[in-house]
Amino acid sequence: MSPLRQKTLMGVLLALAGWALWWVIPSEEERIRGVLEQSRASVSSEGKPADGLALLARVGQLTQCLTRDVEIQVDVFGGLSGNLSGVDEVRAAAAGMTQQFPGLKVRLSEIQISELMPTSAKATVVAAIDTGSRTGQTAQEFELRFRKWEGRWYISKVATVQALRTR
Amino acid sequence: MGPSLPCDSLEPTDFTDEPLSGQKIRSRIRASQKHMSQLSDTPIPWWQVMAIGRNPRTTLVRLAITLVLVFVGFRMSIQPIRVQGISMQPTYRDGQRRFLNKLAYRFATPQRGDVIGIQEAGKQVLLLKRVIGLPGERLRIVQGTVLINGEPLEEPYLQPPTNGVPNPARWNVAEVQLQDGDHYVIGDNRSMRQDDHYFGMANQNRIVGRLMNP
Repeated sequence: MSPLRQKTLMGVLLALAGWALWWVIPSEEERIRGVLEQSRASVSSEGKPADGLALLARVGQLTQCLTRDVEIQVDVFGGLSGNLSGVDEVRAAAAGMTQQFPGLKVRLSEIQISELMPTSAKATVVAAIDTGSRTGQTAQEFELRFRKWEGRWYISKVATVQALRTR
Repeated sequence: MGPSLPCDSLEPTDFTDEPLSGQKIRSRIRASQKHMSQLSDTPIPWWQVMAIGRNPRTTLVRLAITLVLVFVGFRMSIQPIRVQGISMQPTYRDGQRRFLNKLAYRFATPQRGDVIGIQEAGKQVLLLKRVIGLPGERLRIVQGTVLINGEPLEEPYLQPPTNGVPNPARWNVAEVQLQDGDHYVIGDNRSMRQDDHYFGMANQNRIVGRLMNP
């Protein structure tokens, strides 16, 4: 094999190896997006069975994405508002919500990850929420804080982003 | 003097004793054919010129570039919106379609009375509100009257509603000091319950543009 062909082959192999590494080892941003997707899927019912065990499994999947001291502050104008503190409160609320809205669908868009540090990150996301009823469609922007623990990212805080402030 | 040949505009021929290569001969034949076709007397019909131009390929390229430029320009400068809700009634009604000028505040800041689009949830869900307070001002609402730095604000855009409830109704908002970049926005329908009306301070970075056809 001529030296030129050898070099070309080596270059192609290196490029392939780089691509494979990028594919196999996701970036930190990809990992955070993965956590977001997992939490979205666990909250959305989307026709999945809502019997006891399936519900428990889904809620369990959600709590795997949260830190033990997670804080959720929801304040949607003319809608849901309240604070949840700790993974147990979130688990109970999620179970109640999925039972109350069996057709609940959540879609995430405009995900922007910022302030990415070795063990913390921030993300803003728009959640389109469809409760399954005729008028139950809404979109809300959320700000999420992430913490990394033993190589895995967890959601530590969720807060609604208010377009207008009163103070 | 011999007969004149119709090849005055041809490139000067290389009269050298050098033998011509095959490639040179072929290129000269092509040039000659092209020239002859240009001299052809057959006129292009006017409707063809109007529809696709003298050279269809050039016309197609021009059309594609124009379409791309128009599309990009439209997407960058204008955002179509559909009004939803009653907070801007009776000025804007539920279901009306309007356009936002996204370039309006590129080199200017929102002015009092402007109707603006504010990002509520991402780029697709916007709030449509009217600017009543500007950065640096003190604003409060007393019995429905907006006071800017203590002076009552004239609001000609408020129209009397048909249901008998005064517009503005007797809303009260404690004094707020607007910081840099903050604009106080509110809807035109102030005959509704104050608690049901979403209003307050919007930061400049969430303002998308100004309504084009107020």
